[in-house]
Amino acid sequence: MAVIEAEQLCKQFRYSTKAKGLQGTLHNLFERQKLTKTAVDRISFSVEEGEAVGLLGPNGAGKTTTLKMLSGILYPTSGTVRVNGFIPWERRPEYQRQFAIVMGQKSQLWPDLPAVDTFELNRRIYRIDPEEYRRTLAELTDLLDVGPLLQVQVRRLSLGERMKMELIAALLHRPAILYLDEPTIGLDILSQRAIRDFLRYYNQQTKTTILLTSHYTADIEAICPRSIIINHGRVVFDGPLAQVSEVFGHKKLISLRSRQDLDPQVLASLGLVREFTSNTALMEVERDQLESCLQQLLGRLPVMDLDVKDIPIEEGIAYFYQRSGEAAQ
Amino acid sequence: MKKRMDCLRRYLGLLGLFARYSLMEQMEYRVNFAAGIAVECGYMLIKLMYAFLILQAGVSLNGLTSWEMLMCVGTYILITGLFMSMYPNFCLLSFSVRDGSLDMLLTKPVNTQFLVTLRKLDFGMPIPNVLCGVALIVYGWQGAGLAVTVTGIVGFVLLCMTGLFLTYCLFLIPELLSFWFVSNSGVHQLSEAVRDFDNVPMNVYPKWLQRLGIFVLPVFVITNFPTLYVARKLSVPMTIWAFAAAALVFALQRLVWKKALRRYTSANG
Repeated sequence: MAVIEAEQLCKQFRYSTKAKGLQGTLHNLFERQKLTKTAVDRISFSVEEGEAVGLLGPNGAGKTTTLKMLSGILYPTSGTVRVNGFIPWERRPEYQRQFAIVMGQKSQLWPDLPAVDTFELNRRIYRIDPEEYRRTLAELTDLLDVGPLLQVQVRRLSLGERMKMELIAALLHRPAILYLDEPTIGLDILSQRAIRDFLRYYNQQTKTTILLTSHYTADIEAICPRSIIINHGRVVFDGPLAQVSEVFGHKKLISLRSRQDLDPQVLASLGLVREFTSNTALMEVERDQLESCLQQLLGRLPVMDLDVKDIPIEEGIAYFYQRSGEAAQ
Repeated sequence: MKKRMDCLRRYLGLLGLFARYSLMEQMEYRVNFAAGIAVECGYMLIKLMYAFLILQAGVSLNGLTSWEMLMCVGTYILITGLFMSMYPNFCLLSFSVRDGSLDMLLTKPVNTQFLVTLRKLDFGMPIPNVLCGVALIVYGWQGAGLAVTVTGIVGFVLLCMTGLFLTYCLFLIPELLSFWFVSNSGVHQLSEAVRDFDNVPMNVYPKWLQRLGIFVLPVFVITNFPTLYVARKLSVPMTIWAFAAAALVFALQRLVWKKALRRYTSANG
């Protein structure tokens, strides 16, 4: 059953430009050139109950704006959205109790108080039964390993610790839908992994529907079996992330290190040389020519180390970003 | 009815929690907290000086005795003190619009205006103002020789509460303009200046300004009407107008609030 259904969703912002310098400012005082930016351009998608979907896209693609419309923060310019039967921007309390939003760059915690005080406030706001609240809090603090930090003022926590507290604050009322806007932004590798592991586990255990935006492909790979790539406000890909790299499925990368200096002309005759130093090279070859290429490399060069890889998924994503960018122009 | 009472109890509980958290936050910065109270005491002394100047002059002005004028000044100090407790939210509003920090508040299942305008309560400024305001009212009431009756006290308190509510609604509207103009410091200062008109009893102003301040921009209703009621100088239609003005300004403020939220563009962090 579809929990989220977005149809032709569109959001435009009005803004004005200003020419440089004082002259531009004075001109701006009397006359402003009004422009319209289409942040989300008639996108349609649906998300099933319990599904974890990643929203990918470059900066300004419209991912966060989409999440903000789904959570009722923003009114759309046109289009419709139904989330569990509710229209988000009507901001009905019945709907607001069903979802939570966590934004990597915005906080709901009171900075000068321990996080547990914000949790208590959320308990009262969401009318959570005290016993259930205690149970959920114990479970979440245990899973995220932040028990000893509950009594520490939020401003004294590290970014990773704060993000864990944000997640607890968001999940105390056990929302059916969780919107996550770049929850791992700025975190170190260990904190990123901890958040990812937690979200994957939480999604699997509770069947909470997750919609996640992130610039880190690893976040999406770990948590979301399905990805939607948005660029210039439009959906340019919808499917498993693994399929993204299939656009380059006919190509392979060969990374090699030689005992002696390599001849770039020899390498160029075998495939596309992407990177080259005196004795190392990264080459791109067609999959059906891989076998013969390897035979020639091993036969003609004093190869010390050789590695064959798929084209990284980031390149597939970049391809979609570029392709949609060209289409938009 | 029971549902409404439950709702009222819930919101009062949340308000109590906001007050507790705000106090806890302010106590975190002890020096700042103490300095805030000290500065406000200084301002209050200045207000007291001109209040007693009126008293010493002992003149009646346009139908108000000096003791009654002292009550008006006391009411102004009291209501300003109470209003100052919620004032940080008003000041924060344009920042929240500019940096998008309003986002999280818009997703909570409680009345958004309640959350946005009452979640941070200040205690440093209101404490001296409320104490001083009440003292001046009591002193002026006694000096004016006004009868201390239940209806007098209830009416006075009710009109003070109406005045506070009117202040909240009236001075929230200019802050809401930040949803349109983002930076509204000029409008903010203008509204401060309008509020300062209440610094002195309305009788000192010419008639046309009094009418303007009662019927168009009802700032004079806020601090003058409670004293006028106790002194039996407020007609029944004017008493009704006090409540009607509060209801009208509230309706207008809600209308602007709803339109403002539709304008919210939520800057990215």
